[in-house]
Amino acid sequence: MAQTSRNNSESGQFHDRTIRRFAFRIQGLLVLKYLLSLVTMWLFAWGTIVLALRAAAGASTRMLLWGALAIIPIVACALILARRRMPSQSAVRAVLDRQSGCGGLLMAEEQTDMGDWVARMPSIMAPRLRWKGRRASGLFISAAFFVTISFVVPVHFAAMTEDRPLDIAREADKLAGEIEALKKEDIIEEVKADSLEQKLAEIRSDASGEDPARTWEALDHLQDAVAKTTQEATEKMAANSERLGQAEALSKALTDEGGALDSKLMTESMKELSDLTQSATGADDLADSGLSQETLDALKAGSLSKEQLKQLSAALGKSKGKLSERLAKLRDAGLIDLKTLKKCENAGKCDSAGLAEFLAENAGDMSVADLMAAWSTPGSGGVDRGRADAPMTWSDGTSERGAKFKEQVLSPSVLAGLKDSQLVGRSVGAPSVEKSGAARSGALSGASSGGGSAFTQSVLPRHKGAVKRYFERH
Amino acid sequence: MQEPTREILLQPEELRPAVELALKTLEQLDTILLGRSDLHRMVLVAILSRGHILLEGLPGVGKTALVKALGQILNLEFKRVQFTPDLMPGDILGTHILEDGTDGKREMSFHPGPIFTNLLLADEINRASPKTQSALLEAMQEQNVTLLGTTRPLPDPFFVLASQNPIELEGTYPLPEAQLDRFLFKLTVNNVEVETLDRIISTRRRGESPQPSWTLGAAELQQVFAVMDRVYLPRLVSRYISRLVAATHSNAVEATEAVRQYVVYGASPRAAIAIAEAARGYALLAGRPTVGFEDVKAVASGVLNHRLVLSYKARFDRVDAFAVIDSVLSELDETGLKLPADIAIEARKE
Repeated sequence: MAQTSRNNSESGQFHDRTIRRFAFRIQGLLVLKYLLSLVTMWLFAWGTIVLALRAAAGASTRMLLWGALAIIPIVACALILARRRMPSQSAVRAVLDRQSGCGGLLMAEEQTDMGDWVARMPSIMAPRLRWKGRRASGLFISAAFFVTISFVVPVHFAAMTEDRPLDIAREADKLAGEIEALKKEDIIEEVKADSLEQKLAEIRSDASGEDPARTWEALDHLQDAVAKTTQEATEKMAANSERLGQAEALSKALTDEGGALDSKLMTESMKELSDLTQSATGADDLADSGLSQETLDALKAGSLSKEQLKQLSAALGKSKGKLSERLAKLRDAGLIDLKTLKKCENAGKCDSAGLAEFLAENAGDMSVADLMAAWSTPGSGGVDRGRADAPMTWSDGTSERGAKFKEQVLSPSVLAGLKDSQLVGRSVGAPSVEKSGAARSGALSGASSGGGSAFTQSVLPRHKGAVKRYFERH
Repeated sequence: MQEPTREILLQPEELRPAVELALKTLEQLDTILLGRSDLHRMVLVAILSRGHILLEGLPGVGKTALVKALGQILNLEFKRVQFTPDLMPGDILGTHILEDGTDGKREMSFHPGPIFTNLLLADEINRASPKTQSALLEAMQEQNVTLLGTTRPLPDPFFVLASQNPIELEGTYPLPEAQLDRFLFKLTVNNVEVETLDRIISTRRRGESPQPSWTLGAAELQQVFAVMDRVYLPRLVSRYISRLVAATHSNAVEATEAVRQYVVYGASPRAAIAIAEAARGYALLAGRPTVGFEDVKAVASGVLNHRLVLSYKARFDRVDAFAVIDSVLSELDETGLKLPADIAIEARKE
C-alpha cells in the first residue's frame, strides 16, 4: 500500500512537471507572440517619430536612438498580456490528457487518488506547439527595415526646416548676360555695372524657397534698373543716329547742291554740320572712321572742301553703321526689341536731296539751325515728308470732286422709298430737303369767292402706297 | 489542518468484472444481430445509463429484434405494445376492475398494464394519440404509475425502447418535445450492408435470430450498475458537457454559426445530465474508470439530435440536427484552452 502510494506520488510529480513544462512553453510562445506584435507596432511608430523629428526639428540620430529603450516597457507589456492569456494548469492538464489519449485519467489525477491506475496510464507526451507567425514575422521585418531607413535616410530628403533654394538660375543668368552686354557696349558705367552684378550675386545667394516673393521682387527691381539704363542708352543712341543721319544728309546736300547755295547759307550750313557732327559723335570716333586730321580741322573751321565733305559723309555713314551694329548687339542680348531697333535705324535715315531742296527753298527765312529743326519736324515739306503726327493747319475746304463716298447698305424701308422716288434733276450741291409734312394751301383757280380751297400736301415716298390704296378703296 | 480526503478512483480489479459483463452482453448482441456493432454499443450504453431509447428506422431493419434480443440477454421481463391510434392510456398503464372479493364485498382491483415490466417495447409509438403517449411521461421519468390517486412503482430496472417509422407519417402523432426529452438516445437504425445481408440469409433460416448463449443475471446487472455509478467524471469534462449543451442555444457565447442560423430551441439541462450518464457508460465499455472528452463526443450526437428544435430555414437548407451537432463538436475546444488563433496544438508524431 505504501509502495503504491509512493508510486502515485512520484508519477503525480512527474506529470505535474510535464504539465508545468508545457505550460511554460505556452507562456513563452505567448510572450514571443505579443512581444513581436508590440515591437512591430513600436518600430513603425518609432520610425515615424524619427522621420518626423529629423525632418521637423533636425534631431540627431544619436538622440533618437534613445527610443530603443522602449523595449523595456514593451517586454513588460508582453509579459502582462501573456500572463493574462495564460491557460490554467487544469486546462493544460486537459490538453495533455486529450493528446496522450488518457481518457480522463490525467484529469482525474488532479482530484482523485489514482491507485493502480498510475501504472496503467499511457505515457504523457507534450504535444507540439505551432505558431503560424509568418505574417507577424513579415510585419516585424518590414518594421525593422522601416526604422533602419528612417535612421539612415539622408536628412535633406526629409528636411523641412532647412532652406530650400529657389531656382532663379535662368533669370539671373539672363540678367547677368544683359549687364555684361551693356558693359561691353560701354552703355553702362563700370561702377554701376559692378554694383548691379553685386546685387545680382546677393539675390542669387539669398534666393530662398521660404520667401520667393522677396527674391522675385529683388530680381524685378534689378531687371527694371537694367531696362531703364538700356532705354536711356537706346534713346541716346537713337538721337545720335538721328543727328548722324541729319549730319550725313547735310554733308551730302552740301556736296551735291553746294554750288546752288549762297555763301552765307553755305557758311551757316558748314557751322551747323560741325555742330551736328560734334554733338552726334566725338573726334576720336570720326578719326576711327578713317577721317583725316586735316578734314577734322576743316570741319571745326567750317571750311570743308567738296572732297572733305565726301569723306565726312562717308565717315558719318560708318559711324551710323557702328551705331547700328551696337544696337543690333543690344537686340541680340535681348535688351531691346525689334521695334525699337527699327525705330533707331529709321531715325538715322535722311533724304539729302530733299534737304538740299528744302534749304534752297527756305533760305533766308530762318537760320540753318532752325531750317534743320523744321526739316526734322514731322510733316514738314509735303505729304510724303515726315510722319503723320505733323501739326494741324486749317486752310480752304477740300474739293469734293473726284472724292469717293463711302458705300453703305440701305435698310429695306429706305430702299422701298427710293423705288417710288422720281428723278427731278442732278446737282453738285447738297439736296434741299423740305420739311416733312409741310403743307401749302390756297384758293382753287377759277373758283368764285367762297367757292372752295385746295391743299397741297407733300407725301413722303414711303407713304405714297398707303395713300394710293386709300383713294382706290373710296 | 487536515487535508480533505480525496476520492478513490475505481480500481482496475473492481472495474474489470463489470467491463467484462458489459462486453459479454455486447458480444451476445453482436452475435444475435449481425452488422450493427455501433448501434448495439449505444443501446448498451443507454441501458447502463438506465435511459430510454427511441429507435427510428424503416420497417424490417431489425428494431424489434434488437429489443427482443436485449431482453433475452439481460434476462429481463419483456413486453411489447403495438401503438395504434385507438390505443388508450389504460391499455398501457392498467385499469381498475370491479371484482367480488373473498369476503363477498365488491371492490375495485387494479389490473396492471404492460408497462409493469422491465423492458417495454413501444412499437411505432408515433401512431398512438398524444393522450396515450403522455401516459408514458410519468413512467419514464419517475418510474411510477399513478392511477386513481394511487402511485405504483414500476419494476427496477425499467426501460422503454420505442420505435418509430420515419415514413408513412400520415395519421401519426409526432412525439412532443417533452416526450422526446425523456429518451436518453434517439438512434437511427439503418439498413445493413450487403455482406451482412449475405451472412443473415446464409446463416439464419426465415431470419430467426439464434438464442443467446449467455445471459446476464439480475444480480450481475445490478453489479454493473453499481460500478457505473462510480465511474469518475473529471471536472473539466463536466465543464465541457455544460459548455456543449449551452452552445446548442443560439444566444450562447460559444454558439456556432450553424446553431445561430438554424436552432430555434437548444438542448435542455436534462440533455447535459444524459450526456454525462451516457459518457460514463461509454467509458465503462472502454474499460476506463474515468470519462474522457472522447466519450462525451461519442454519445453527444445520440443525446442531442432529438432535443434540438430547428428552424424552417434549416429544413429549407436541408440541414439536419446531426450537421448542427457536428459543427458544435468540431468548433468547441474541449479543454477550454483559449489560445490565440495563430497558435495551434498539434499531436507529436511518433
